[in-house]
Amino acid sequence: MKSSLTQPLLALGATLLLASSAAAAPQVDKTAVKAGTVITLTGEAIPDGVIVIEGGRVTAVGAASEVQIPWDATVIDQPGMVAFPGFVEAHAARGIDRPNETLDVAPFLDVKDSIDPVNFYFEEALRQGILTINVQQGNDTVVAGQGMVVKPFGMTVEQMMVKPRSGVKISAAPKRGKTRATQAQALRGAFDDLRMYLEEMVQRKKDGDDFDRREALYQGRELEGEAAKGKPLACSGWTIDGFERIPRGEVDEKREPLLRIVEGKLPVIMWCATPMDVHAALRVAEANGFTSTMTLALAPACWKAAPKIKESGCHVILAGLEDNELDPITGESVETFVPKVFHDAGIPFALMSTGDSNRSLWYQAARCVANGIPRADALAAVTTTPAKILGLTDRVGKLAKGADGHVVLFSGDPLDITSVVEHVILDGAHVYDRSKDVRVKQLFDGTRPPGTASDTSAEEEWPGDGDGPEDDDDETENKG
Amino acid sequence: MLTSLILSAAAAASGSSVPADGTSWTIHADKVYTSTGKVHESALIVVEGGKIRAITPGVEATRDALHAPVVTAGMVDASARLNSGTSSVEQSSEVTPLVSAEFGLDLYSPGWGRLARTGVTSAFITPLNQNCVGGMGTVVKTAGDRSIKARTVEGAPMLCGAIGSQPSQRNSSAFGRPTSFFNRRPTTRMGVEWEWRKSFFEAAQAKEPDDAQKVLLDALAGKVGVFVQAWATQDIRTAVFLKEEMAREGFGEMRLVIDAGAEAWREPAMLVRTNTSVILPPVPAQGRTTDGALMSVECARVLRDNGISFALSGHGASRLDIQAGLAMRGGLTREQALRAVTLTPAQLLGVDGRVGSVEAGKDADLILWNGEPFEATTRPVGVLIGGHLALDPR
Amino acid sequence: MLISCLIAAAPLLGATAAEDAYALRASHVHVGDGQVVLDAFVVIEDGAVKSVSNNAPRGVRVVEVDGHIAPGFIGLRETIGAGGENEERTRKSTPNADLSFAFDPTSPYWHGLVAEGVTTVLMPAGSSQIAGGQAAIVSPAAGKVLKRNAVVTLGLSRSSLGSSTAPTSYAGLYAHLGEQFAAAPEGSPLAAAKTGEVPVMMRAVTRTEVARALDFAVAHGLKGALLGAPEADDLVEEIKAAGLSVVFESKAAPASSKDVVKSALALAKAEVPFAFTSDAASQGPLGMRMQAAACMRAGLDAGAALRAMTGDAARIAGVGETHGTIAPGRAADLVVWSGPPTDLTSRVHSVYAGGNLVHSAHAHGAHQ
Repeated sequence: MKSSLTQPLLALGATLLLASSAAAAPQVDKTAVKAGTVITLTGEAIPDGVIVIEGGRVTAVGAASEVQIPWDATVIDQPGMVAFPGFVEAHAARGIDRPNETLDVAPFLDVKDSIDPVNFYFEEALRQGILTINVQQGNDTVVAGQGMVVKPFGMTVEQMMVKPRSGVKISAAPKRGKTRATQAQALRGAFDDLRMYLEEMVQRKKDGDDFDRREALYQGRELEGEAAKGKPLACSGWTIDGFERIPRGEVDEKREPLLRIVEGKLPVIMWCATPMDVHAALRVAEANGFTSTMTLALAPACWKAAPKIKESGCHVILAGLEDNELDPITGESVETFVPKVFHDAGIPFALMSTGDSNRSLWYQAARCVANGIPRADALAAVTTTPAKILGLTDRVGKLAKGADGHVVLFSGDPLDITSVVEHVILDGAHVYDRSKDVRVKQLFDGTRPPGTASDTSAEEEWPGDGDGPEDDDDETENKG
Repeated sequence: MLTSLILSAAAAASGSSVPADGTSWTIHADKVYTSTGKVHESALIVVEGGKIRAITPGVEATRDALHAPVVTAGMVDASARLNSGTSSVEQSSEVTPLVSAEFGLDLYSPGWGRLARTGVTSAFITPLNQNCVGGMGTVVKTAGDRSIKARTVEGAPMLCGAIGSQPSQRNSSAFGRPTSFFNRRPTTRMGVEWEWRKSFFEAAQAKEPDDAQKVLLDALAGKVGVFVQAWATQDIRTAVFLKEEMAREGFGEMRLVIDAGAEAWREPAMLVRTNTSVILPPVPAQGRTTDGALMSVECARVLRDNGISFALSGHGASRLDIQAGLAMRGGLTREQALRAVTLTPAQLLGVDGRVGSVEAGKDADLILWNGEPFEATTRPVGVLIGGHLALDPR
Repeated sequence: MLISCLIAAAPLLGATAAEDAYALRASHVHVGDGQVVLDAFVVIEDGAVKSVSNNAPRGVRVVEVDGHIAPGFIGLRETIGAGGENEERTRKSTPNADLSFAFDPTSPYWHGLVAEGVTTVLMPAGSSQIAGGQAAIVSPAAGKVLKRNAVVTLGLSRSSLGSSTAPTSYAGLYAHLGEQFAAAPEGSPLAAAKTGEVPVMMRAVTRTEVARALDFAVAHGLKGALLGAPEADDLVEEIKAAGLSVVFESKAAPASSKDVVKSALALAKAEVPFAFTSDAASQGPLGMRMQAAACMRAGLDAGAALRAMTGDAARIAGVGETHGTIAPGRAADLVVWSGPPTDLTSRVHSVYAGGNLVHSAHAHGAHQ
């Protein structure tokens, strides 16, 4: 996928970010990135290190003195900069049209139909060094659609795609308009409905009714190869006798994702807004056999459910660093730094960026350090842990042989407040150069886009006493 | 009558003293940034009776000393906006110079604790900016006795108000059947400016100025500072032109401070020529803030490069130490960022006799950091206010 | 019907009955200052209490009552019987208003109050006014005004601020009030309040409002009580130093009632007088007794709880010399209870006002 797409990637990379035109983009099969410090996240940082990327994959990482750079590689040499793997956003409901549908249960939807490649979110992600993003639907749902892991570069969704159908968003917190009771009922109902449907399929098969086969063909689904085979239900929560009789391709499209969820083949990201939601989430997951493939996305208040989460073994994604409560007796506000609770409980956690361009994932990780979490664990929360959650451990979140050829060059240590992303290499291609970032220039230097008000060289002076100053004075006097 | 409000506040403030039972501490820091430019290494700070008694560099930590890698002065938030909402501003009139912000203070609000714990030890409170001229601001310590008198720090008197869209927002046309006093002018930006100018003119031309007009006259003469909220360039320009017009009329030279000057970076020349200082608001998340003002982390640097005196502010919601860090991200040095949240706001508010730097004789308002201040990877772990521990590092 | 006739007729009856002295004998007489006299005779003559003792009086008709005798409750804020006439809505301050004009003796509401043991009522101005006027002391049973211009009521809480009428800020409120006091001519109610002749009742709810009210009272030499102040326990020293008492608004909701309980205990400990209002939301005097019971449950002794509804309440209302306790010279406003008056299971048997029997539960069956 990488090398065949590199050229079109570059050709279409003439966005705001690059000054060079499509025609002038070089062919890049091999790239070597040299930096003053290389943070691999697999061990100690390497001073004067180099990363070699060939065919879009990292083929070597090490000290410059030890690694052989191919003679035909394009070398990016930045001795004053720090190379870093690129942040991984475990979950984001951004860069898409609207975050949720009005339907309660819609696992057949896919964000690939909603991702907008030119959405500002992706441009900003690149600028902040976030190179792997799990785009999911929003939290206002019962069972939402399937997400996709993308990289923030490309003119089409296919070009951006890293891993399709990366998981389903489910919410234990009530959808707008629902109470906790009706939400739980709807959630249970979705799986009960699946169960009933599968049982009916088996019954129909026993009765010799080939309704499901006709439906499948009518819906345009192929029933050949793998789709023609039937397998026993592999759900640890419940079972359907005789399900192996049913060719998998016959399962209704609308319910098929739910089937994959209960069989542990499609991961779940479960949104919880309160500690009570966590309990509801774990109950549903346990009943339907998908606890081991579920990640909990938590609002800050959920730190109170940490012991229960620890028992379950689930990973968590934290949407918010601080929980503020007013002590009912003293009236004082009590603040809890949420990631610390999970860190101390030994629960692996990932962080989320906010819409604030000054407080991206680097900031979230830095605040963890400020509040007593060791640097290695804080960095893991924005790199290796989300990579694990997304099933991309060997591909992203670290600089190691075999990983995707993504490197971010920072002007200093990534967690320093003055450090900024200077360059981004994505799949071996140099796709971002801050010195050419027009939007940054606009904001910081006050450079105006062409055709707008001119610069401050023509000073504005107070117009002074022109016509009618005497009138003004008279008026004021009379008013008195 | 109404004067008594102002006078009693001033009298109380001047009569207030450092708490007599000030706790005594010794604090050892690997580095002390004094805010004056001096940096002490491996220093011992002795606090007694709520004041800094002595700073001795180059000594080892004593066993009973509180220790921290870095100690700085407590931060002074020049626009903390922690007041009790609409009950802090007297909206029956658009120009109320005699109202004091201290009447809007609720010292039981949990916001004070939050400010204190994040290192803001002194906060400048103004009446809510719903009026053109809202009244007098006051500097208050963020922790200590729950008495306004004890917590007020007497400084330079500041007349506070706003120019822009905010003061006209609640007003509506007086045509038809007026149902409340909000059926009045101003309903536009120019109306707001008109209110200011009218008040100044009337005060200057009054044969026997009343108490409110006396305050306005002092403001015109520069004896009382004028602290005006002006987010957008057009509003900052209006404020500066107002000052220049008053000077040209011969009414005096105002001491102008622009609060929430988010777009001060656009036309710095007019601020330089009128010697206007700026308080910067928190940096917005995506470029634009109130009144459509465009602001980035680099604004502080632009003001520095133009030699404009500026301070940073948190508006109660944003952490001031992170604002200082973002200003560094925009190009300030750590020393400059530190000044912008300690000594400079103290000087602008006239309280630098008591707070704003780590020097013997000043109030023991100190922050103990767990590393270099203003980094995203560090935070205050200990805070002293008047010698009392508002945040315990132990 | 019957009872209102009784009340109306009482003055007439009283003309002859008052001359006859008589005595009530009961197993317990709660004096209203904390003391309880056992097996006592209360001698009543001319509408006033003549004596309280264990010795049987000579030459006087003795009525044996089955129960406890206690002073009638002082209802420290009753406005329903005023029919909304106590709140002037066009102006924030009407300091010269005499709220006795808001008293409607024919209101059917008074009957229920008397049946719950309230014999004397203070009628203050509504809480949305800054200087609402002088409260009157009335006797709902007798249907007459006992004392005009008894207490100056001041509203210093958020309810007194307007959203589209002046003042909208605390600064404006105090400026306005300061002006009213400064401009008050000699002999006017506010001037009398400044010399301490007439007590004030200042409504302030949050701790900051209470602190400001205390500062104002001290600055102007005002005496009297704070109304509201559920978190008074935070400011006990300041309240004591200012020489003020506190009237708590009886609360039905447990959350807000808890604060009052804490504060009442703190004030009891610091020997600062306090009382409860009788207009608990939708529950009337029963709510007041429940608030007192909540305090007792937390440790307040019964005597102090009763004082808060009788003796101290009367003193706060400025009628401590004549009402609120069963002692020689005081008005014979008594209630006969089936048990201790602070016990929630006790019911009213009969009520005497000015020596006249104005209510008897038996005449009306079990209806309470």
